[in-house]
Amino acid sequence: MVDSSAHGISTGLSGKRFRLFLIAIFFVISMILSISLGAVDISPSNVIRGLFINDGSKVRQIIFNVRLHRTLTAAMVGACLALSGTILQGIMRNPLAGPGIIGVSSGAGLMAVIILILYPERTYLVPVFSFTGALLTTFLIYLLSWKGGVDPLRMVLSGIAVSSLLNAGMQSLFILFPSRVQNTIGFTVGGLQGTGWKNFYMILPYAVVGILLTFFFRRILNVLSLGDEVAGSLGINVELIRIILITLSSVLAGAAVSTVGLLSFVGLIGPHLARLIVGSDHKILVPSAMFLGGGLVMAADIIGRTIFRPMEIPVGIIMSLLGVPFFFYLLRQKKVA
Amino acid sequence: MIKLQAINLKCGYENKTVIESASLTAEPGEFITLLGPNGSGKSTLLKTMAGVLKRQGGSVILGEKDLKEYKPQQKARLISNLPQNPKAPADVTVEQLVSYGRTPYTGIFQKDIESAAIREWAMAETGVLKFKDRLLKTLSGGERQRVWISMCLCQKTKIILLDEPTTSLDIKHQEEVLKTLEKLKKEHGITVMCVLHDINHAIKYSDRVAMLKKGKILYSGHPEEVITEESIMDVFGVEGNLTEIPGKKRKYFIPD
Repeated sequence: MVDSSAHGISTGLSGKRFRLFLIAIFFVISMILSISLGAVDISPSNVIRGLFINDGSKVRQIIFNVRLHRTLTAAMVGACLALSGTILQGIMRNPLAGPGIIGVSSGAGLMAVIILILYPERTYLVPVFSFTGALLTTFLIYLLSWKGGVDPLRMVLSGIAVSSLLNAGMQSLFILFPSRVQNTIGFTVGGLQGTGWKNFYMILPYAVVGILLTFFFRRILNVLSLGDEVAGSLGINVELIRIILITLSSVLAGAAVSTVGLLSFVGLIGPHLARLIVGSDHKILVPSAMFLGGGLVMAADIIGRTIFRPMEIPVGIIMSLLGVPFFFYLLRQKKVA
Repeated sequence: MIKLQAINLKCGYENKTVIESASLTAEPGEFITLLGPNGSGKSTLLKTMAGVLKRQGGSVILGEKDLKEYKPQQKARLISNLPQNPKAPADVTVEQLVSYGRTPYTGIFQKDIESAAIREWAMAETGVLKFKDRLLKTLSGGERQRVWISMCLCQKTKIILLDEPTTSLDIKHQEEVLKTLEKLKKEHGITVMCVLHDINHAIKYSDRVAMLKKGKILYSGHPEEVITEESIMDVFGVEGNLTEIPGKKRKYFIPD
């Protein structure tokens, strides 16, 4: 992978820690810029002053009333999605695995679209329903792929099948109610416009608990990467751990998606990028994916709202426009095993 | 010292039964080999005795209790199991892989303090300590196999089960792997049970051989008693002679 394997010596732990450190710096810089850039630009030094010193200034008000919650939501959404994908790629041992594959996008999407199209006056229900939709779809896919145990490949395939079924449901609604499709675009593309402190507090508990749990499971994720049989021989209750981790992953991604819409692409690309940069040891990979996912969403959001000021491009579009080419570049640079 | 016993074990996959009833005892500190043609049920029996494959009937007794009564972690401190062609991430180092052998001794919140010392020991015993910082994928097949055995050893179990540990290795590496296993048996009293394809390896290294055909153990016992021209003909359908080799204690098989 990224190692100087010509001599077969791996990039040492310290080298990987340094790369993690660089990713963390990218995260911090994105965060400061995300607060600093907008309708009114605030210099980074004023951002830091405004954050920590309550002088009642206009800068501080802009930061706390307009910017900070959006930045923090972006960071958390990105971190949650990237960790969700990291967990799934770890337990499925399949590069296709991402929050999309366990039905988070399609489940959350269908529920959100049902509300937005059929009950447009109850938009406030979208987060709760899409979160529930995400979890239920995950369990449905899990049950459908159960046959005396869950085979990761069967689960990936069931996930693709169930997702396309739910997507068909979503598209039928678009066809039946063409005049209301407009309502749903914000959600299906995924964006941070109009996020308030409310959104931030909604995702906060899931994010904090989910991220902490993911950190506790780092060692077990490493062992699971050796395959079910070896992991089982090493005393891991593979089936139990897998359902716990799938639930954790669904909660992480579901919380993110129900807050900002279908942005789950970060959950596929974030972990891959992190893996290309720091390798597959979850001790380093988990924090790297967390910072990288958060940093990427903040960065994409900065670009989206500054490039055609005052018009905003939803973060989901920027993510794909810039993320995909960059991903291909990395994929061709480093040989991925 | 702990005994592993299969009693009237019925095993197979999903709705297909491979073995109707098999009984086999691995005495403490023995080297046991499962021999038989492809599809005879060797790997199925091994996996079921390791508790990796769900049994369809009968019992597997480990020490005093049925294998089912052990918690996964407890069991992993007594039996280790190495599948055929195990897979690892491309960037895993030798030391990292071996360290995973300590999994049964580490909880989510508890650290395994002895880990580093045992890891070094396990790598030294299997002769892979010099590759410690190398990437697993850059080693030769035989070296890699010894790293995996080192991981099992790191588990500090009394019994090690291996599915075709020498398949796809060249003759030198086959010998190295088998000598490593023999050393674990002789110096550490570990019970080694493995599936082998080479009759002469079975003759050379085993204390006990179980010969399987079509899901039945047809012969079981000391290799000199069990491996005969007749039993080989019966099990493998191959004619040949067991021949005295000057300077060797046991007779080896030469096919016609």
